[in-house]
Amino acid sequence: MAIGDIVSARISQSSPSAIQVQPPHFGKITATPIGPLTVNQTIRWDNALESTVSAANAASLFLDVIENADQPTLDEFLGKTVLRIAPGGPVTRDPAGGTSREFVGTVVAMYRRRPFEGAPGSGNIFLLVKSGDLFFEDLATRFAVLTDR
Amino acid sequence: MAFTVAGQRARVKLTSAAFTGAFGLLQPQPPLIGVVTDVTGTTITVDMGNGTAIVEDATNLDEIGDVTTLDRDIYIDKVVNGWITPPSPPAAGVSYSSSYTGRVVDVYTVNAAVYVLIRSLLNGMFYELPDANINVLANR
Repeated sequence: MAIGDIVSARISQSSPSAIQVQPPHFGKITATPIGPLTVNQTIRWDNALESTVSAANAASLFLDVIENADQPTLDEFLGKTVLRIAPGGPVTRDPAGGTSREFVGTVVAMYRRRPFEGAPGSGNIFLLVKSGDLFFEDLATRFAVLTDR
Repeated sequence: MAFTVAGQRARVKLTSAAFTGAFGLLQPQPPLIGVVTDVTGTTITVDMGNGTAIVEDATNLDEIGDVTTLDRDIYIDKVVNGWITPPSPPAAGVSYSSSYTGRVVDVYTVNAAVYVLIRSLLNGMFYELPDANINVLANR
């Protein structure tokens, strides 16, 4: 973690955030005064608001640092129409997984969410997708590209 | 470039050493762009136009500038899509999915590089691409 890092709140504590009413917000760390027991991070968000988040330790901030997705993910999903795959589907990464075609969407952004307390490059790569007026965010491995769109 | 005078436009900088913004805008909503009202060294005051005035170091802001008349005429009032590879020659580019086809909302520079802001016809999504990655669609 460092001044200048891009961060986003981890909406779900235990699993990737899935369908949500509002899109996620992203912000930039502008100050990191660190105390002996409390971690304070001042963040300037994309909507211009500023917040200072405090917690007993870095893990309790529940912030993710946003890092670049890897090149294979960029190559696979850049400019593509995708369908979210139900993880319990019969065939890995096949639309037969059960997701309705109503959830077809366009990829808005690709990035790695690295837990604030984690090492650079750790964490998972996510896609932020817009389907109609709905935003949802999930692991890149849970999307399939529709080649006919 | 650097912030030098009041009246320039600015927004919160959403790139870092770890995230270079390889794929357009990070935020799904349209970018919130404000007007610089004071420059004192590297400390910049920006009226964000939403009831918020921010005071930030210049390193935390993107400088938004005007494009040339030529660049404006290429893109304003056009329907466009993205190119995955900058077209050279034009036929070499690989188009984004048709779902990305959209109308140009604005053309501006971000830290001196020309960018085009697009709104998808399909779902209203805003996205921003370097002008080298824009394909103007004919007869649209």
